[in-house]
Amino acid sequence: MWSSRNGCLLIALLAASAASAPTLAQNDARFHLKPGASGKLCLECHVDFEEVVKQAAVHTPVKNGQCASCHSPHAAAHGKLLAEPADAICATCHGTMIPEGAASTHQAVAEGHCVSCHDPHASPNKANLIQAGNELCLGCHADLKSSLAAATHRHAPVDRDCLACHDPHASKDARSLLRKAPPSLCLDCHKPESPGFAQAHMKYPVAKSDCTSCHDPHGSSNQGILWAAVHEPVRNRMCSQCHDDPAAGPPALKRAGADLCRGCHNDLMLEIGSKNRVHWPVLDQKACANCHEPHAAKTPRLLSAPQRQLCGGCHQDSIARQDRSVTKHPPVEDGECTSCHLPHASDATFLFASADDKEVCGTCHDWSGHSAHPIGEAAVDQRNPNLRLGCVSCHRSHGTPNLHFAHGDVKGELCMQCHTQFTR
Amino acid sequence: MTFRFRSAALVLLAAQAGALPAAAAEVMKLRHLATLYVDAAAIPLRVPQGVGCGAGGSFLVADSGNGRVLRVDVSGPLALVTGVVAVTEIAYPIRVDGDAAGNLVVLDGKSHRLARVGADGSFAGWIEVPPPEGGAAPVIRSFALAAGGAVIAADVAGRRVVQISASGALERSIALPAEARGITDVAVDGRGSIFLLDGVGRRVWMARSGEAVFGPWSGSLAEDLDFPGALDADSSGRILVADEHGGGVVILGPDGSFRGRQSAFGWKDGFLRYPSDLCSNGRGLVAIADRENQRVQVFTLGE
Repeated sequence: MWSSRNGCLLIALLAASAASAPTLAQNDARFHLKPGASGKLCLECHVDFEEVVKQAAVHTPVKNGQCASCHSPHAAAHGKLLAEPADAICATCHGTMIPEGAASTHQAVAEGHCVSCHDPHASPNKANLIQAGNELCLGCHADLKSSLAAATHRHAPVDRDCLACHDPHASKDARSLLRKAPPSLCLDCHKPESPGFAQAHMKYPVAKSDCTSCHDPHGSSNQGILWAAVHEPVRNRMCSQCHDDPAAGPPALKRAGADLCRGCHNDLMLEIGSKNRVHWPVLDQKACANCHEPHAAKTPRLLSAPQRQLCGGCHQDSIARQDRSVTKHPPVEDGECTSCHLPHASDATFLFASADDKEVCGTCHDWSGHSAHPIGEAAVDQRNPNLRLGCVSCHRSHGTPNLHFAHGDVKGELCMQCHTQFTR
Repeated sequence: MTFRFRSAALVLLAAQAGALPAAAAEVMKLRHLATLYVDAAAIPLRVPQGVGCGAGGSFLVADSGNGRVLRVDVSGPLALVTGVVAVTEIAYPIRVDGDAAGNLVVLDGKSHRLARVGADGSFAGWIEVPPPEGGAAPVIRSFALAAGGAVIAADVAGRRVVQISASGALERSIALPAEARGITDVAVDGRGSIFLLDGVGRRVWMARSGEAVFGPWSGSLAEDLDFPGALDADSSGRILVADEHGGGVVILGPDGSFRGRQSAFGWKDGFLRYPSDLCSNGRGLVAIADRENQRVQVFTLGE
């Protein structure tokens, strides 16, 4: 049913739409400009723009003299007299840079920081980019720049153009802004039916596998641009240690779960079996593959991800506790979980290397110089007769709302838990 | 901790507004009754990892660090050890449960196998769980005793829950839900429904008696607890969940709704540090393995 309210709404929407992308004629009318004054009028003061607009790539509104498309000539609520917030103004015209349901989006695009890459007026580079080629990308992706500098084998397209594989704005279907998900993207250049490809992969049918599970797509110092950490059988091209012969069909594993890994890592398995407490993922169906990559990995010890991410995948609460904590514990903050915890098994709770927390904490902290407070076997915890005082009597290593991740306010509350006679 | 207050407040507000049935507004409370620190010989408990329910309302304690099981009677505010079971085959008991005749089933944390122990404390053999076809040897993460003596065991290597009859026959095998990320416990209620605790995914799954698959039972418990390590069903169909990392117990109604969070992280009686198991004895008492406090505490459960 049509109503005057609907009518008002439609008019408002049309007005808003017109205001968001004014045409040249609309601008002239809006600001009562003399005929032909648009653009030229601004250049009377902004004379330096005469040189700017001579560059190879000029933003269309600038070229058309539509300065008022982006700037309010009299006053504005935003810096540089922009008509909209700096992180939103580009989207008034370029609203479709991120496909709906995109699998990955460039952070700069998501946050509206278009000028991180583009000059809004003009540039010598195509698409108004502030720098040409890969230098622009590597300006932010400094880690990649340094790893590329160190790599002895570089993936050829990396030197040519990052955009060979990545969409700079967003990718609808693939992670990491990839134009297509691997292996489809990789197979555009690498042909699995070629003899060289088959030989490099020991004739195993890998054409449907994710190439990046073994290869660093940018480059590495390992032959075949394998990731920095390579499983020895892969390095030695001994796939048959774990897989059935490729001629037998799909590359099936010779054994399931930890039984497969036991073939080489038997000593470790025996050690795990000798402990009272085992990290349960070691024993489940995926076993070692819960945390380790079987072929190659970016992270040392073939870990699937850096520890904070990997361990935090299951122990979200422990990471969240640290994030909320007033004082940060560096091993947790930096993702060095194995500084305190043994990842496979232990006789101690929390999979500590020792049941004595002074020993665990003592690897970094000199508790004997910490305070004169009694600690150790002779010091009974006043709160609980079965406990002896140790580091965790006062501290919670993953964090608390108190300074020094103490179990209470260190100015009183913590001490009063035991020294109740001093409570006022 | 504000999010937890929010959960409780939502229940109360919804009840006041008439949005929930009267039963859903019922907030259950645990009240501290007794604490067990030592056995009859004054030997302190060490890393008590599990508790179970024994004959006549008594409790059983897997005193893991001491490599033994304790039989415990609770009389008013006193929890007294009435028997000690130590068998060489079971190196590190982590879960225990018992039947009305005093027989025990014990999960050994070292071998990840289930053992039967007679009422006289003698080892009565391992419970053989057949591996799934073509699968790895079973690794038992936890178990519960059903009426009639059947053992319901979570086999994490086989990604399944199995039901082994009192005579040792494999009666049932239910695959773990594909979404389950890290099973920490299993429980069974009086009607034979099996409850599965996904500690990593922080939710409870359920398979009714005779059902061949687990379905979601609770919603996400991520706002109500940190890392759930154990659960048990009480005689009224409520499910108690031990929040191991958060130091507390979350109570869920028979419909999976949140009915309250009890206790908190601490050292004194009534508080918990890393509660790793709990058992409701059907007589209004709940025992909790207060692992890092090196003790077992007994609470009453009521409104």
